[in-house]
Amino acid sequence: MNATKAENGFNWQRMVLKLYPFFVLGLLLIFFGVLTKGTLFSSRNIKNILESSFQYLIGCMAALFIFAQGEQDFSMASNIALSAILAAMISKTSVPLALVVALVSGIAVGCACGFLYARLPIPVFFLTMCIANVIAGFLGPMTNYQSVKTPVSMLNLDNTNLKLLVAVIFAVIIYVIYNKTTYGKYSRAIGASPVVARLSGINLSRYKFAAFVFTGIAAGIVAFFSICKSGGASKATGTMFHFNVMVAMALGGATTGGPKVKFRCAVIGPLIISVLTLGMNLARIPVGMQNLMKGVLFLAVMVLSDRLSRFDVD
Amino acid sequence: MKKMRKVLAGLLTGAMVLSMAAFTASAEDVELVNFKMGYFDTGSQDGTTVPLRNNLVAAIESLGAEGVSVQPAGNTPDDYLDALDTLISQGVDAIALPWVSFMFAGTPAAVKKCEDAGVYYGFYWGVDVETLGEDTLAFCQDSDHFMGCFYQQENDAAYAAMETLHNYGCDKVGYIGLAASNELQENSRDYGVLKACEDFGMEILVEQRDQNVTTTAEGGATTVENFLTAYPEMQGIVIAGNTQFVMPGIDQVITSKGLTDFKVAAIDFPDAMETYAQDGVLVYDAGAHVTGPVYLTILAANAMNGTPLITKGQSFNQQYIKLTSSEEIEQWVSIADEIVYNTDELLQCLQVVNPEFDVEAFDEMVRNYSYADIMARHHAE
Repeated sequence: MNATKAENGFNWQRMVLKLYPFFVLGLLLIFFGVLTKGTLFSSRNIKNILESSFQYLIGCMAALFIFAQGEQDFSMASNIALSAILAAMISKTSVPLALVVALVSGIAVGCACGFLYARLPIPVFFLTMCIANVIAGFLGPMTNYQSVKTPVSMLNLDNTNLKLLVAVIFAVIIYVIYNKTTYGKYSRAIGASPVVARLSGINLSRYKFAAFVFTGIAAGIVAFFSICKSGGASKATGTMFHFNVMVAMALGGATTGGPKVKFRCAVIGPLIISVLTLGMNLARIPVGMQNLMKGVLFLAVMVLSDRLSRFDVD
Repeated sequence: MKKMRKVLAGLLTGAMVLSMAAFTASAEDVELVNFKMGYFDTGSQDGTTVPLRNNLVAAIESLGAEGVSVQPAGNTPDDYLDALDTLISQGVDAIALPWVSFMFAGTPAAVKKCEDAGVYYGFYWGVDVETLGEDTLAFCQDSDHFMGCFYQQENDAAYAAMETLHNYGCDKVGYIGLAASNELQENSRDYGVLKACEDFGMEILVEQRDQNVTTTAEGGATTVENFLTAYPEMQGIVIAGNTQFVMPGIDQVITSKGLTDFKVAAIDFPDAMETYAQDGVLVYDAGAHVTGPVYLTILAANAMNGTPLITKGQSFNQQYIKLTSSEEIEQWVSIADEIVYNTDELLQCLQVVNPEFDVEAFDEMVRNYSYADIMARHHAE
């Protein structure tokens, strides 16, 4: 029936369902723009939106491949904490070296997760949770249960323009790999059916491994900019990051992983969360009501997502 | 002549009354500067956050200010820094910063943001000024906007908990608390517990610090069951964190086993604490350390009205309410919902209203905060 409609003309319902995250973001911008009498669009608040969504933009984009493969990475928060602490420790010697350490640490943990994911027949959420716990266990003794401070000069690197540039470059790279290379296509194929993908000759281990390298890179980037932002790192750095990435991806339209996960999900989701959080605070909505509104919005997204899957919109 | 004297006496009396009235400015006579006081509100409904929020809102309204709150997106320093940006973007004049939420990691950035924005700021639930560290102090040491730090003596609260257990004859105890930390070594609850062990010859038989266990009532019940199985000689438990979560389970196990001599001393007030006191289980609790933001509002209000109490940010020793018997706990619960400082008391903390109020008087007020202090101010016979 749907196919018939589509053949006969433009299917509005299908279009709305396909682009609903954009509508949600647009409605939120209009709603809070009116409610805050335009304050939401002041340069400072635009900057606030970009600042607060930066780390989740990076995290969501990197997690696209794992989501496409129908899995999730629960080790990202611990990976960020470890990378941030190591980078903060080395930052007293050299700030560029701190960036390198953050990236190497993030990638190393990503590789460890990827290797085990590719080799062991353990559910990935369980595997990454175990790795997260192992890392968390190290963090306390490693830091002597203290925060690690960075040189104050690093706070100057907390620059919105720099973050924007990094996010754009990262987005272009991820977009190309996800949409234009065989790696992106094969990741989606694995998400659709690992068995079929394997029988089609796809090297599952290789693609599974690489997916975690991306989240490792993201963890390194987020860790570095986190210590630039706060002036230090502790075992609390990055807390709940993986959970927030999942929520952002869901709001962006990727409530379930698999081949239907689109690049746009990773961009729209973090922006929706940032606009929602900032808008409610600027509109002085009481905290209890804020939680209620978030709950209603999340529920609405779930219902829409369910409709989406029934219509098989791709 | 007599008539003239009467007229002169009348004139003199009138002049005296007028001059007294002129020097004793009542609160109604003073037009207070309206300013925006920013704060963070997590929306939590626990026994510490609710009175903290209620007292802060009451203080803001009493001192002629407007409250601006934001809900951080999460619990990391980064989330709080984002929320701080939101507060600043709303044009707040002063901000109460919960140090514990920024931890050490986010403190320099928070201070820099406030300094750059030119807003008054100070920390509560944290450390003294010196402990902020050189990096942070470099931003705020000579600042006109830094109001200081309000910190509570964690070691004292823990020490008193152990002392109370000792007084009840419980020297062999189990420990339930937060993950080991020496972030504030000299001012940590652990330090107070260890010091009490040395002073009173007490012994910690076993510890439970697993957050996965100590954040549920079931975890509390399981923990105490395990403690008692492994150490039948155990006489009591000190809870140095997550009290609100574990206490229901602990109380249930102890009462169901009929362990009338087994006592619990805790830090942070749990919900329904009177029940645990009535059961004879809870004999000490320290909490209601909710006045830090109120004090920061007082400092901000004085500064905004052109009569700053302090010229340089300094440390103030904020107090816990320490309840040292089941009876005291029950009595406290009956007044726990009260606003700690009423409008009249708060207005007297403004120099424009009460010129004699100075930083010494303020410091004394902060140090005097206690159960007895509240009873004396609000419930004197």
